[in-house]
Amino acid sequence: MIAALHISGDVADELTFVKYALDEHAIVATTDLAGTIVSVNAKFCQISKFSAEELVGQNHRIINSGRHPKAFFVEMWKAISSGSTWRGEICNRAKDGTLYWVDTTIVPIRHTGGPLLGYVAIRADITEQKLAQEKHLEEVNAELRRKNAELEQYVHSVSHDLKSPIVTILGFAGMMRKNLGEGQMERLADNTERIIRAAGRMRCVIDDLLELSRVGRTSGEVGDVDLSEAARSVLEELRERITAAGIRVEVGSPMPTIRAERMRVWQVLQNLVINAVHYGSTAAAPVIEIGASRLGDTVTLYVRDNGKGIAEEHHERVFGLFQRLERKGAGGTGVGLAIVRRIAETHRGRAWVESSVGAGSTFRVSMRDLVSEESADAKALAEGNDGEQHE
Amino acid sequence: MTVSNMNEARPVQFLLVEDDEDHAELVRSVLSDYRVANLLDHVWDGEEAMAYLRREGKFAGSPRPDIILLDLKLPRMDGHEVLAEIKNDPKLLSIPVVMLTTSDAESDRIVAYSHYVNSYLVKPVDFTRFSDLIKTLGLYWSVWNAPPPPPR
Repeated sequence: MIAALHISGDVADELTFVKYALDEHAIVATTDLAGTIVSVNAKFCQISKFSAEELVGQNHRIINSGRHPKAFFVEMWKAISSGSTWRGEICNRAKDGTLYWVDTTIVPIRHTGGPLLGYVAIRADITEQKLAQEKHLEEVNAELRRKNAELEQYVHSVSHDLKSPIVTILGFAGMMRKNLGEGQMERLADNTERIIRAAGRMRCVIDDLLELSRVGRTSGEVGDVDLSEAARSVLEELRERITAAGIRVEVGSPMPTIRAERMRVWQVLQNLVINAVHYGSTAAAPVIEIGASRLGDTVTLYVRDNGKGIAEEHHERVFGLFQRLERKGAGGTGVGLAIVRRIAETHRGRAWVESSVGAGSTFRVSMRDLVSEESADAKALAEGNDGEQHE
Repeated sequence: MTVSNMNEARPVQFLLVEDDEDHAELVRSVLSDYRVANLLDHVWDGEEAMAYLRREGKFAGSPRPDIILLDLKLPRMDGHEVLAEIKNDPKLLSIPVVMLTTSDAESDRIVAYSHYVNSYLVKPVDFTRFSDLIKTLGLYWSVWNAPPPPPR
């Protein structure tokens, strides 16, 4: 560009070239000191959808969108009328009513030492970026609202499920005190048992909640977890309960390994198997099947029982916090499947159930290999020169 | 209220919908201690409650309750859903429904009243207050409250 100007050597030509280039790039307008439009270029007409005839002689307010507070333009006028260049993002309104955003520089013009003559405004269309920004903001807002609602629900559930055993404990303790005062001893043993059970339930709820809150927060040891081995160890731990319920367990083989937090994989299997033992053991010949397969970086595992199954309208509910399909005391604390789902989500996967009444249930959990920063580096190295190219 | 009025009070049929066995036992034993209600049926969840009210399955011979005590947190079908279904059913909507719950959350009260709950009671944690509440509740609905005429 500069070289080209030197070749021409003619100042008038230089200005023509610069103006030509500027008109190709930017939205340009000049106004007098009162803001009346003196000239506009083609890009100005194109974006504002007014013709040059419609614009020239009009006040610049003709494209005011009303989206900026008065103070915004007061500040702008204060700057340019005192001879300073102003720069900012303005939302304008086109002839057809649509809004557009322009990154704007307004330069006051004057001869050296002379009074202000008018203003030149050079603008670039940034509507798309602005819309993308607004969209992103809306998405973030929606996500925040969702999280807030989730948190509210969480606090709500927790306060209910912790308060409930307290009502029981204080209730039966109060009853005991009354009975003791009246010399009635026959219900003492029963009441004591109820109090102990309620306190135990409370402890379980607290333990489970603590566990749930740890998922995704602690960064446990990430490694290659052999699912066959994990299943074996979970089954070993639960062997007594499984045997007592007369359940036959079939473990598919081979099962893949997954790069994950060992403890979390173990927890997923443990919760699903406990669930299957509990709800599946109603079958005449109860069977639990465990299996897993890998597709790309995603491992999907399943635990299937042949119990009474779950009606479709409850398929989502079972993963909710403190949601049980059986009455209190009959099932667990209602946290197990919520933990499973959260673990799946922290491994960029999901947890769901396939089931219908009378047909058993298949719980499936997909998890993607965790990629630690260390292993990403290792991968880049293993793939050859990639690392060098980035440097 | 005179003693003779009390004696004239007909037995009132309560239906308690409660998934917590201990809470059910507390309600049952306080009510029986004060001898205000001699009839109390207990179901465990929302689906059972609807089956009871519609006399389906094993509830074919169940009576029409004079008053329903409804817990909020229930497995399968929660108290809000049960309430909405009752108040949407022309045959059932005149039965007074009393929420009896541990939840004092504003959101729960808003939903319950928008579904025309007749009363909303928070289970007191303290036993003395719990038994006062149940006793008052029993007296109010079995003695003071004039029930709706039976449906035709």
